[in-house]
Amino acid sequence: MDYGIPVLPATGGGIALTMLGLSRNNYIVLALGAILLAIVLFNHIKLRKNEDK
Amino acid sequence: MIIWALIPAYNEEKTICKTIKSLQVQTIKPQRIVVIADNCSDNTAKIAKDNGAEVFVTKNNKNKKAGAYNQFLQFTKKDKVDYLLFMDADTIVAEDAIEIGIKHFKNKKVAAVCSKAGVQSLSVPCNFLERILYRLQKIEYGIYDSQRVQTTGHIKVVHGMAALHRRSYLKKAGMFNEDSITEDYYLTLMYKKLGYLVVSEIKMRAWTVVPTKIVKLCKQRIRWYRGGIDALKDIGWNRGTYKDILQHIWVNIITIVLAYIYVGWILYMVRINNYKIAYHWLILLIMISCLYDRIYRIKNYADNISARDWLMVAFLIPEIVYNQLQTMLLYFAYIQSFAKTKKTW
Repeated sequence: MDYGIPVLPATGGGIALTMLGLSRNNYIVLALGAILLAIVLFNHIKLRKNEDK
Repeated sequence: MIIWALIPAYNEEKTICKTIKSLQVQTIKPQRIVVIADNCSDNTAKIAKDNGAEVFVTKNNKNKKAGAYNQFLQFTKKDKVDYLLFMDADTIVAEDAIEIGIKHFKNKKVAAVCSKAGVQSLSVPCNFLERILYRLQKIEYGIYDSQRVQTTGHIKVVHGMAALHRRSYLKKAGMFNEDSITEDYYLTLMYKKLGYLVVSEIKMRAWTVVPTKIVKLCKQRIRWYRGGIDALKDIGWNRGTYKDILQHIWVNIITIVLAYIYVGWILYMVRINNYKIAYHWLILLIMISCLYDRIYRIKNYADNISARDWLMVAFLIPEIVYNQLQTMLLYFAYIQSFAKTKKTW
């Protein structure tokens, strides 16, 4: 249908980050987490914006 | 305004009747409903005719759906028609599908409008694994729909399930590429190359049949992935393809490889820290955001989600396993494409 690009579920990414976050306060991981959060929020806002059109 | 509905069919006697009926009750009726019988050895043509559709039988077509479409379009090239609804023979559309989709053509830049990709209910008894595969695809198709809304105007692919095309732009895009095993994706890339818009209309509802046998599903996915990679290699870098090429490099290669390294590293860190845990508020925020986004997309875009579907989503493991399977198939498709093995449908 979309011809490729399977990605790990976003929740999977969240869980992976949680695991590491739970294991240690690591700034690299937190930075990666912030990027992931920004991507998720950006995509969600874009979706909601297009729904309103 | 002249609209034709074209349905290429290869041995689709079980589903073709429902497809035709769904077109006959449209609020804006297509002037012609044509079943393109392609190398059929069953009763598809007879059933189509008995149910009021025209039947066009292909001759010596070796190029599957693309060849079937092109033969018919070549045969009718002098006829006047404004819009074409291309539809799979195992798909049904809601009665207002054409009426809703056609509105987008007021914008002269729009070349094609594709429907929502719903999934039909199971019509045959299935075992546990088959039902899981069905549920996974139902959710997956819903997520794809949400992504199409997110990127409307520049969607990744105008799928072949049910989509309206402007005839004049189709000609400019060179019709269907007969070497491609994902002719709809190839055509979408050509539209984008020419600067046209490709749109998704979520209210234009359609439902298809999804494979529930693992072998059939794997074959379908390898064809999709292989067709996608081949199309990008064939067309090359341009304004219609660059996003998809970058997505291949970034998502399919870098992200997935990094994800495996990352998970391994996490497990290592947990171990060397003697399983001690620390909390950070950002992690919680990420989890909540990811979960909210996911639940929102499934709730609003996937069809007929039952309590059992939600249970499967909450359990997570089936989806993670399914994603790993897709990733493996994708890498297999890369190998096939770069090794230039024979293309199979």
